Amino acid sequence: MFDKFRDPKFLAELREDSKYEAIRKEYKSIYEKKYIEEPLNLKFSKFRMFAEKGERDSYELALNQHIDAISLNAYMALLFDDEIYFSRLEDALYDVLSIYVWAIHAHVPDINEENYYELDLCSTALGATIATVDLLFGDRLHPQLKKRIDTELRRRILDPFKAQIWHWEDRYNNWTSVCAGSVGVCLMLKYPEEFDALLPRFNENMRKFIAGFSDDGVCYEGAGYWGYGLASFVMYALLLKEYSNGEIDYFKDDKVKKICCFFEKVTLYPDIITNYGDTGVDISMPSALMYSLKHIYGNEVWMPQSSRIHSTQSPLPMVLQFIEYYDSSYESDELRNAEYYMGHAGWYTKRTDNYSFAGRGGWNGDSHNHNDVGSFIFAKDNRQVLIDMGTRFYTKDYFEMPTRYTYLETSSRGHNVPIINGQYQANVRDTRSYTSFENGIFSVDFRELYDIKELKKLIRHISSDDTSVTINDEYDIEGKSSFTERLVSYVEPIIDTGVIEIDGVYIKFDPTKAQASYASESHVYKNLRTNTIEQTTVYLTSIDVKPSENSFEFKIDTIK
Amino acid sequence: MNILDKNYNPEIWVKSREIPELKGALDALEKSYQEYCIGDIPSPKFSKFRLFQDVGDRNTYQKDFFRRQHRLFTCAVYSLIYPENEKVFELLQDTIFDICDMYAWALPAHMGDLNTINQMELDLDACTMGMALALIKRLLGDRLHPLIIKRIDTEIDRRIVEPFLSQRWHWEFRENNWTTVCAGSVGCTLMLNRPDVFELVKDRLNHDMQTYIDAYGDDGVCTEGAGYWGYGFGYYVAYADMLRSFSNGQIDLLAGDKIKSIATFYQKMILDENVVVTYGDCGLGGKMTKDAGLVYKFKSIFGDIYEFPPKSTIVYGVHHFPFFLDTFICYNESYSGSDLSRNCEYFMANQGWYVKRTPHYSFSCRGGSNGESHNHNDVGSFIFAHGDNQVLCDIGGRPYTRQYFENEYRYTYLETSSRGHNVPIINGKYQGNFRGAKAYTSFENGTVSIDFSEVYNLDELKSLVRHCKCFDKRVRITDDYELDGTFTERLISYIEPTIDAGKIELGDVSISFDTTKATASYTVEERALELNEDGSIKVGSDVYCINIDVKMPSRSFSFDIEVK
Repeated sequence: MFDKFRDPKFLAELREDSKYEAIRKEYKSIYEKKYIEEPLNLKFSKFRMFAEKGERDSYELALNQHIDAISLNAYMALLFDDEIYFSRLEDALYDVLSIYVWAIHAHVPDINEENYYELDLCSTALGATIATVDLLFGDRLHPQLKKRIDTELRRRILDPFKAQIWHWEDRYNNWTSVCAGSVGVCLMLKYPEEFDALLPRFNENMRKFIAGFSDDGVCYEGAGYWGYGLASFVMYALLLKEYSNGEIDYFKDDKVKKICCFFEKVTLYPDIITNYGDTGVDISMPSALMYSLKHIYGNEVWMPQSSRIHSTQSPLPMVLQFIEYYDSSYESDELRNAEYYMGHAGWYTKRTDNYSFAGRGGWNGDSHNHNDVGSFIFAKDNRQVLIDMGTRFYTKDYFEMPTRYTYLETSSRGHNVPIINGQYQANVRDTRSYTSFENGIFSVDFRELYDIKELKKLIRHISSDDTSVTINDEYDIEGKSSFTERLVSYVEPIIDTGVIEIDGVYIKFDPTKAQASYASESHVYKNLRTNTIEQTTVYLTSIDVKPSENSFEFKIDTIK
Repeated sequence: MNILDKNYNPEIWVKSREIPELKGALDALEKSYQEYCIGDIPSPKFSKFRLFQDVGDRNTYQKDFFRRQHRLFTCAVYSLIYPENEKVFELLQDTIFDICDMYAWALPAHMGDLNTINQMELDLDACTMGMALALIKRLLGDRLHPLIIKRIDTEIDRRIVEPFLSQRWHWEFRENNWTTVCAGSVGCTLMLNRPDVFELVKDRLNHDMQTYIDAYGDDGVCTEGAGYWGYGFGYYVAYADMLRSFSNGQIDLLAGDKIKSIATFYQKMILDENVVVTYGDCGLGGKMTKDAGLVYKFKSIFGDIYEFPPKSTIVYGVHHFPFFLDTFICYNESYSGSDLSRNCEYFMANQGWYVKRTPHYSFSCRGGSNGESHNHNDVGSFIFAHGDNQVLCDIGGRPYTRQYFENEYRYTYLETSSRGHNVPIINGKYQGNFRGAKAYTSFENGTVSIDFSEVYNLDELKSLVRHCKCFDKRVRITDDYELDGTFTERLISYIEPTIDAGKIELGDVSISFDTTKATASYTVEERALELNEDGSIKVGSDVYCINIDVKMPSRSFSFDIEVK
């Protein structure tokens, strides 16, 4: 595996051929931005911050500086004939092989106990990267480092994996593919006999990962985690296909194919995606994933602009796959108008010349869930107008009950869904919505998501034409009631009689039936491009419907 | 006094803030904080780690290593004295965490084959690191985070206890500072952190300690030089003192005349307030030996026989953790510095070392052999000191590199070769270090006589005896020899000589001889103070090498060293 990268002829091509000029240029500029010769010290005082204060960034930032130096210098040593990168690679290995624990502190369950073996997203990916370095550079590495790689991979990856079943093996989400996929790659490359013996367990893990998607290939965790989780799966599956001489080929599977084609179905504009759940607004897909998928499925996969060449820091095996499957002809994909109804998941997407729209049913029990059943996104001119603001920046509280749904980002009060009797959606066990798509109308019956006895009926009908989308909510509330439509935007609304103008879009309704007002709150998020915590204002528009009504309709119109 | 002693009082730390005489120690602590505790330390790099093996450079790696180590020591003592300073305590825990992560606690220079994984090498720094962590856990354990405590326990077990139990170590047979520093700190670590294991290996450790003592003669001379005496014997005393408390007085390795003789070695090596005898790999100041912690501890243990050095010369520093702790633990207001006695004379018969202090000058000469630990080829050499300086000097050791300890290179340097010492050059040849060759030294009627022809191992040299006799303001050196060839006296000084009609002037000191019998000249060489990565001199200082060529044939030559 990765034979190419040990072939002097290919390496010479990689370093000199104009075909790879763009890659060399891009990687060099990433290297110059990201390689840090003297990374921040990995202090215990930072390590303990998560357990004690819920703060995770300062340690994670330092940890990544140490770890990134391995991949960065490894690919530079491949792309450029300069000894400095190899020497820095050895320095980075020496450093990282000594780090107390390879997992992120946030994933170490009890920091009062010694734990050097925790298998999480970070430690397993690092294991795969180091096994790849060993494969590519093993002959040149100093004997001490070569031996230490073996010792540490056994101690920190192989032994702990064999010692117990890990929580993520039963999780049906990105953790499963990232952790199992990375451990699998590490073992395939470094300990094939161990891998062979453990293959049934890896198969089972991957089966669960695939089962975590809807039959339509929807990733309930959102597009961001789709990219993250699937990239590891594809990395693993491509290598396994080669390892098994083509015998094990996940890509022939129909559902896997649907999963792989998911991204286009949640894309609203080239740079705008349906960012339900804990998905950032600014996400970009791992280029390794997208080029690999293009390589496998050709035109059935749409390549997003943001993945043209390298956009995120990936584990080394993915970087190699990217280089291997890189083809500049993949870069000319255009996004076409389309309409998708993903019935199993209850998701709906429509792209037109004038706007794009996404609506959803589902339930409030997703991984990285927000209480957002029945919500939608309306986008125009390559930006979201009625928005899903995506994830808040991660803290310990954010993943703990009862604090999880107190945040604007996670609560239904921060989503485009009704507030009923002053109450937001709940996160109640075994509640769900029922969606259908008939005669061009996408309908969501989402009554169950509100834990309100008096609410007997709540169905949202979404119809659309070339220039507008009409939302019609039918409901039945016993006794004294209130019904408020909530609309969320980054741009301040201008309210007039029966029309609300937001960022060039007009929301029209019957002014005799309802009255609009708005408030603002701040949204805290991590800018993934600059890696800084930022804050922005979001506007919460409320349309209070008169108590006598039992339905309400508003039209989102691109024409005044 | 030590922390296992039943009279040890944990309140001394905070109280020491109020003791004026410990101001020097607190200032040193503050200075170390500024020097070692600000900012991040570069993460350990393999490219630095391998430099010793690849080119012989120790310093590039050791610089960061010692910064970590000194940060640990500084923050620990700081936290004891200023428990309210949480920032420093946090840095202490960060540093412990960092040190527990380090690939190795031993220095690359001591690790032998770097091609294998070796996290268990027990060298000086690994052993003392273990002891420092055990002391810190004992002294600050109630405040340390549970994970920090567990990591200390794990790493001490893994890096100290297991390797010690798994094999006999070279330093257990070495009869020099390694023996006591390593065995002593392993022993203290075990008493503090693994008393169960200590009981199992107590006899072995005590035997190691005895090996060190056996290497001394009854004269108590440490042939490694005054600096290593402080280091080696300091750890002997630290271990023995703790063991005495640990065993409730049952085991006392501090009794007996020989121990007393060793304990008083340093005071015999003092030439002037700031000048010591610097034979072998000794730094010019012999600083460690005047470490306050060592001085207080020795005084507390040896009492009257131990002469407290002049207070102005006491040095405070964090470099040796147990000693720095002892600065506070063993401090006693009744200890006071004495003026240096200027009328004393010692002849140390086993090693053939001689020291004399007079009101006008100090003088030392030596016999011995060229087969010592940290040896220089310097048998028959001498030091003449005046005005708190060595005037005719022993320039001491060179910064350590791999080559410095390899036979091929060891005696190529000015610092180690007899060409950099105050001994004759015979037929253009220097001394060698030949197996079994040694000097025969005697002291009769005020004259030290050193018969040292063997160390030249030359057929044409039939005999060579040096006589040194001290007068009021003058020392006369007479060399008697039987020789077929040339004879040149070599004298070493930092002062540029003026040579005029048979008189060599070195500031206030002149050297005179019979001009009809010899002519003097000099050359300049550079002594290494700091080295480049490739071992070449980065910072040096000029050394003047004076030659007095004696006209042959001749059987004897004399010169006088005189203070004006």
